[in-house]
Amino acid sequence: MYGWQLAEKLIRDGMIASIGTLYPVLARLREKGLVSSFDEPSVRGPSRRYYRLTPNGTAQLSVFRKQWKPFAAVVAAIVGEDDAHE
Amino acid sequence: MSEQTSEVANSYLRELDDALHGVDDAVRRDIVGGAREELQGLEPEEARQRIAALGDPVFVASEASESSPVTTARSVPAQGREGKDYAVTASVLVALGGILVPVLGWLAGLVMVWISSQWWRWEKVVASLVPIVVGALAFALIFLPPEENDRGAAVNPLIPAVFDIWWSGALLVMICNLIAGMWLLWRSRRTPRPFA
Repeated sequence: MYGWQLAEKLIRDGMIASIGTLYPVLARLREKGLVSSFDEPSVRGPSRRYYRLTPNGTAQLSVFRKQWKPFAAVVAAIVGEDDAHE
Repeated sequence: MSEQTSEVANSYLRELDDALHGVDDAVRRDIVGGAREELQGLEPEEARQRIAALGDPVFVASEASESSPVTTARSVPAQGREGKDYAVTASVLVALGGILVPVLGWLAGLVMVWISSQWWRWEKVVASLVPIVVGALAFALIFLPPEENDRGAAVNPLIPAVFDIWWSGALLVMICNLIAGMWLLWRSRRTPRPFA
């Protein structure tokens, strides 16, 4: 995906407010070797910078997915409890 | 659909670039580059709509500042090598500096252009090389071997002498510098500042 495609999706999902949040994250992921970027000409004219996961990034995502479900379940259990508990 | 970036888009990109001053260089370059990708080739009305989606430059910059390290080291010295006044001075020196102070004036202009982040690297290369190449070609003409001529034959006054070639070459270089300076000034106004 190229920058704006990522931004558009994340903004629509309410994860970020603008490209001002997206690119610093991409820069950090690139620094860590989890994401790589490459330029490719588009059909409509200007070339675009696409981002994709590196093999290291794919492995990291796989680990994160495994950890996310139990973590989310714990958070949901805690946050989801009613306010009667002190 | 035009391949060029519309004035409304260029204006937005300049504002965005200015607003991102002090944000990490790589992030700033990515944000401006990403916005440029989206705006390039759009008609003004399309560009306006996309700009609205991209967001206010100040807001984008504040988010970027919160999400990335701020580089104060670059911003202070670089400020003196950017801006409208700097671009005008450097461009005028490239255009006319060589006339005011032969060679040195032009070199001073080129140094100003090269240490500035106001222009893309390819623009700096073009502005530097065109007058040099033209001058070198004119100079080379002087050293071309003369055509074989019968001894005692009259010299054709229509064939330029070395003196003529020298001065024509110098004039040509001056014209090239003038055009290069004007072009640099135009480029500094049309494109947001890159990071060379």
